[in-house]
Amino acid sequence: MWNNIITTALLGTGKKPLLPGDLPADLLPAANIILADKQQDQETHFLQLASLVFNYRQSGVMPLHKEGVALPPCLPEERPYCNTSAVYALQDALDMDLLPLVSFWLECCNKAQQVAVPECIPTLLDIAVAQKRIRNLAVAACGNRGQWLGRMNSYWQFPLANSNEELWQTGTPEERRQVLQEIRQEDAGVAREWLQQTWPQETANVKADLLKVLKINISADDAPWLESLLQEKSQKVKDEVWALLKLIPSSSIVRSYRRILQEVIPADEYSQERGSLSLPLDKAITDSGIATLSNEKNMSDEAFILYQLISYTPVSYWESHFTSLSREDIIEKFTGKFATALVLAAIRFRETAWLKLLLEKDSHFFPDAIELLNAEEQEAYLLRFFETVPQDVIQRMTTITSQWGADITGAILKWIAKNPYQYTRNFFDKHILQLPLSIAGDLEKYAPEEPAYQATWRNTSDHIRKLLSCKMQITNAFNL
Amino acid sequence: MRLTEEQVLTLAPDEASRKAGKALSGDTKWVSKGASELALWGECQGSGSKPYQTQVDLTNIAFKCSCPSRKFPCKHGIGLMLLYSRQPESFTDNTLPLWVSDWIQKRSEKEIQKTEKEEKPVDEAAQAKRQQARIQKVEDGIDELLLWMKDIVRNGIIQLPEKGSSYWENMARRMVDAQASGLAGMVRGLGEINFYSEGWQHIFMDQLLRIYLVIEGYRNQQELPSLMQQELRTMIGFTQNQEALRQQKGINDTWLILSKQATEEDNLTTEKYWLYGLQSHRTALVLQFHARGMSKPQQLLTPGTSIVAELVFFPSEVPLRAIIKEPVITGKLHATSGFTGWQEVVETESVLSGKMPVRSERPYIVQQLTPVQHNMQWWLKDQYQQMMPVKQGFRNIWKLLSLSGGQALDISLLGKEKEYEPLGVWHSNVYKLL
Repeated sequence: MWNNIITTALLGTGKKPLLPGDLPADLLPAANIILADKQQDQETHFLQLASLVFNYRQSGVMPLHKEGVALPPCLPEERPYCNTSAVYALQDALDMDLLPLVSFWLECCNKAQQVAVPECIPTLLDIAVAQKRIRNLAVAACGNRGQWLGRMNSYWQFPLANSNEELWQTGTPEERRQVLQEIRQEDAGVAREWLQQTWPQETANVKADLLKVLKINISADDAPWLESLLQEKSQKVKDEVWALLKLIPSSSIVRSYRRILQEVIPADEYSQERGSLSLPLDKAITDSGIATLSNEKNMSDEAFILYQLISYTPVSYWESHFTSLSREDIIEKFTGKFATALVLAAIRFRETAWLKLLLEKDSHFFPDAIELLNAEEQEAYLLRFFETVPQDVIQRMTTITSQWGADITGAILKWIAKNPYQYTRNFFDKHILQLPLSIAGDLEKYAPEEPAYQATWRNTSDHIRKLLSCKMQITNAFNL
Repeated sequence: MRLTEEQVLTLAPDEASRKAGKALSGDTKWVSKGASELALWGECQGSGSKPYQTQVDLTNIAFKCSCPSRKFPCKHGIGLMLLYSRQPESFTDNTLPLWVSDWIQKRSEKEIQKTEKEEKPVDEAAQAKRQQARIQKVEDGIDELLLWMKDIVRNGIIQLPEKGSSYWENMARRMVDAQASGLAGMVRGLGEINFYSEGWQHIFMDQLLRIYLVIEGYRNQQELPSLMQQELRTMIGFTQNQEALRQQKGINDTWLILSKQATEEDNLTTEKYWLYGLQSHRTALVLQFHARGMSKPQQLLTPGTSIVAELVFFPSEVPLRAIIKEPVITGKLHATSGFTGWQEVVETESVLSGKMPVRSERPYIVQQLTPVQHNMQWWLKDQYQQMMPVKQGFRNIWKLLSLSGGQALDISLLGKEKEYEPLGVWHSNVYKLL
């Protein structure tokens, strides 16, 4: 009926006039009255008939009756919904478009064994699509309802079911690297076995990339396989193998280094003399990455080789070498150009006790030493060097994922306030989770003396307060 | 009356104010603050030397702030309301300071003055003369419009997608000249149709026939009931004297504010509020217009709350548009029943179409609707297995689905004929906007 009106309208009444037969029987009496008025032109007849049908159509709408059309209902949630404060905190984090805070919210929600309220779930699932890093957290916080929605929206169907083994077999290079890293942290031997199994199928680039993961929890157990890999064709792979072998005290190469040092450095604690290196060095030594030409003006080639060998020899070795010397005396013996080599060795072989002793005596900043110290020691060490290398310390702090201590945070903020163009709001957006809540009240204290920078700091500290407030809301909302 | 955060945010004039208001919702920003049953107030430290004094009338939501912002409400008002919704316990002071009590006092005095204000005497002869001249202009315009429409149907609408915007705009301007602004808007509506979308022919014909029905109705108004005559005159573009309307007896009820829709064109913001009367079961549309930065809305209505107010409807066979007679008292959203299923909705629609064929969409509340998928489309199924399609392009379908979880919900909807757009749902006894 209505389609007849549209057909006539499309072609025009000049080409296809509307006929009474085009209308439903109910409307024929009315249509006949309209058409009987011969004073009206064809267009008026059409407009009047079409108006009649228009109202007939809109007056007679009926709903569709259909049995059996249903959605399987969502399973009830096993965990309680988060409270209203948590919803508001999430909305604030979303409004600020700050992924670290959204991620923090999701972590807290999961930690508190709660789920997001239904109205937030579509937004969280959309974020999970765009941000792979927080996908698992988001999916967990969306509970059964998230999974139920995912079954109807293909964008929200995440491959959650994939086990680590499946990811290792079929994942992207990045996924495989992450899985191997995870396994390596849990069970170093299993990670090595997985890599051994797929080794022949991997390309040189992938091999080099995956080998880097073995640095985690490296031990003597890895040495035999790694040494067998020295026959690989790719230089890139061989370089990675050497780098790893040089971290294992019992590996052949580290033992070779030790033998050379044994010959050159007399075990006599009173002797200040040292023997000469037998040059040229073995090919295996140079292949392992020991450079033979000094890159420092004040260090001879021979001293440079020794420096490298000492840095690749566990510090504890010197305790057996100088049997009657105390640790302090050993350090004393290496004072001067070889002192930093000892620190590097302690870092490489993760000799924490030695490292702490060496760091106390050394005036250089070793960023890599940080991860071997506990939180308190880290902060004290970083504060010690803050005055001399502030940006290096800040850079190192950004890699610490746990919450920063109040003192070091204070020092950093004070420096940033004085150097407003080095670190912008973006820095705080990224590192808001590391900032302790306690600094909110102290921000005014860090205001720079330079009047020109005070307004900038006022704006920055307002921004930091806003971020901290959102973080505090999240913490309070989940009662954590 | 304490609004929820979501409700406060719907009061913000724009997205920037929402964000700025949120930034001011922290305790530290406020030098002092207090709340009583009548008002909410606070002093916010801004960039100036003195803090801004922000105050909110809680009985009949209204804002005042000493800041220079032209936005209404300003970010301080939004921030203060947000803080109150989050931490009401921090508003320990409940004695109105002088600057707040003065304002509240002045507001109530103004209300009394408004009701007492007498109208100026009108020169009826001059008015009748002006009216006659206008009617003549409108009739001339209508004749021209009808001729133009007949041309379109004679030649066929198949050619229309090729017409440029001037084709529509010229006729709309002609209607403006003829002082038929309502018809001008309807003609512009024709030009705004997306002629490249599927089914444009149906949309076009619907609109064309609406114009035709209005024109013919107006031309034959003597044969029609008085209410329809008045409504047709309004559709043509004759304005309704709102002050005269305000003098008429309205309907006292508790009105649920189901939704707010705001659009902005040429700096003029149009706010549409959809209301539902708890006792009268009447639905209403309250329109407010305000120019950005130049004026403020008469009433601040918060979706998701209710108001106790007297509403006067514009004359119509199927009354919908209304004005609110002040004062209003804002309250919580009450539970309501609405229709039990689609059959009741379509029966009501049929009655309305029988009374007035040219009418806009209306709000409904329908109990126990479940969103379902059928033939690649989303539908709302009632408890009697009757279904109606959800409006094409409805943006918040996933929010609706998430709230439903496959279970039936009481839903407020806006629509007519075969397309309904969900406005809000009652979820766990709380009304949630979509």
